[in-house]
Amino acid sequence: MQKALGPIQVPFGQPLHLPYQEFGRGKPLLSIVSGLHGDEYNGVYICGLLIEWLRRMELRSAYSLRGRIRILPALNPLGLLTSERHWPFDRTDVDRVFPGYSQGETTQRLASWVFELLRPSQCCVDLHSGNATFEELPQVLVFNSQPRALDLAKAMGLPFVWIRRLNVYGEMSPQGLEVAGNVQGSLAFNLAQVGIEALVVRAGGGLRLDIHYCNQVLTALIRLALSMGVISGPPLEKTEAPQIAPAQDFQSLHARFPGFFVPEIALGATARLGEPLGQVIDPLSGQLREEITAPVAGVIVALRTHPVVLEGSLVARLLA
Amino acid sequence: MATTATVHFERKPVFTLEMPFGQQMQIINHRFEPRWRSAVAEVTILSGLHGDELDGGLVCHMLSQFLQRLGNNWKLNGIVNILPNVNPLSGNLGQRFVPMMGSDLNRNFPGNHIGFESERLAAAIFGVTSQSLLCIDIHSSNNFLEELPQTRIVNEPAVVDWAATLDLDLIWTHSAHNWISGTIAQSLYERNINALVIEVGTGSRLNRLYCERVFRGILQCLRSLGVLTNGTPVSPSNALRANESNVTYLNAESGGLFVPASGLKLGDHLRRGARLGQIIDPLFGQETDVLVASSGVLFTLRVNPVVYAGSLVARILQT
Repeated sequence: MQKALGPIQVPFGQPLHLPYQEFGRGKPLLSIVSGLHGDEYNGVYICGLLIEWLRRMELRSAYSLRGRIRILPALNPLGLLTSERHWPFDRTDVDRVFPGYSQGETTQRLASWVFELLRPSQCCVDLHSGNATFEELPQVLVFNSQPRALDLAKAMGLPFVWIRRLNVYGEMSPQGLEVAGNVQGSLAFNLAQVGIEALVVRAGGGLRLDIHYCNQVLTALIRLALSMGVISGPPLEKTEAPQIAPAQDFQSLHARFPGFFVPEIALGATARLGEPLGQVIDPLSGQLREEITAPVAGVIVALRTHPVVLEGSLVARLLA
Repeated sequence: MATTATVHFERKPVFTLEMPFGQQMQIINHRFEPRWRSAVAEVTILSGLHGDELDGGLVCHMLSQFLQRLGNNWKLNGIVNILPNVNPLSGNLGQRFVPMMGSDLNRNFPGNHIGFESERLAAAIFGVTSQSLLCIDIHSSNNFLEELPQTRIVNEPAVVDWAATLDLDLIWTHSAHNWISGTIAQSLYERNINALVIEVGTGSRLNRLYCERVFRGILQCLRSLGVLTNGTPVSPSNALRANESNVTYLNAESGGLFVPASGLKLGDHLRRGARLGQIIDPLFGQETDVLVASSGVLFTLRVNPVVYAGSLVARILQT
């Protein structure tokens, strides 16, 4: 059943409605959210696939609903329209204003409506992709404080699960720890704070659709719904067990020089120790500035797609 | 670069980031040290963490010029670091953030020397402040709002006293747990270095009068710390005191253009129920009054007329 959040009164013309879909009734409730960042289209497309799958399931299928699924596909509609990551009018990162405030700024109001709608969920999946500069291998991120979320993430069967740990005391950040200030207003962080199992999925790149990855995530969401008992039916075919990795197992590789990053390896490939991953060249002189090689053997789980790098720019992430 | 017999002045890059296409980004520190004797304390003043906030650049310039030409009756007894426009790339783009770095520089402190670009930039700035007794971080508002000159601080008596010496219109205290993680002020607080965050004027503009007040305020603050002396006593402040429970936020409840009541200006004392302005919908001809919800002093006012439902229109300090 289609419903809508809002509307948001805009300066000129028709108010903005935020449509969402709901299937089934009762518990457990699984919620799927996407499109908080306007430059990430994969999640919106995955929601479309899931809505279509559920609609067809209602008509005929070996599967049936036992609980409820809520799908909020496009939460930053003007950002998606203009390919802008943030709320275009005031550049607010919509994924940093949670839990929101119903009497506050426009994006805070939006966030509070979304948060209230998600609050009865047992589990919520926030779908993201890389941004306009990066592509990501399909992965699930969970906080180390939520062991049940880790079990659910494993059940999804995506290639790997990233266990996030927050650098809450603001120490000079050791490898892999996330800065608390960068996470504080995010949807996942706030869901976890109120005891909802929060899963963040990242797949593919920004400003485009990665159809293969989207289908892979669709299957993962169906597995999740099955494992939660939201739907019942025959299990999907088994995948290889995902690699479970704490934050410190990820190696971030940074460019030491500015210029163009020219990759020499593909996303998802396994790099041997010392294998070349890409070059940084200076287009003004034509010179090679740097050859970036794998510091350890591992899988390339994120790769830069935007050529321009500054000194220090992240070019790849590798899972040892 | 010694400029006077008693003050050692050096203007030097503390951080250089190589960029593509032959460009370079530098953070410059104007460092002033007393000659011939040890410093009583070190203070760091910085501006422009957000590239569209420009008033702090003028304040830093005035301070640096003043210290370089220190008058005969003035004495420098401590170290002063001045870091103007610490986010030059954003500034050059006329933008608040650096899109390619992906985030707000003032959410990346204390930074990381081997991290990505904004973390490196943050670590370099943080490194300069680490020896300081006090750090003054100058902000303007964004492009939407205008602010009465004010100091935002964590609610601790010593910090309130220091903020008072700036003699701006308002001191707004927050409890430590509400200090936003990743800001330079919060990161300094965790290392027992106190920060005064000055907020003044509006984004992408200079308010010269406000800048001169902040400049005089910082001189007075440096005098009260003993970093500067000129033989005259520091005058007490009568700043208004805001906290987490006596500020009223007025948000637009419809979309359109916000038209402030005629003659309305920052610092006005407003009565409950008075009309702050109207939101007009030019397409459909509707007009909605924005009414003052509690009596008090207007210290934030919207300058960009375009509003969505929810857009902040004004902040009032209840009196």
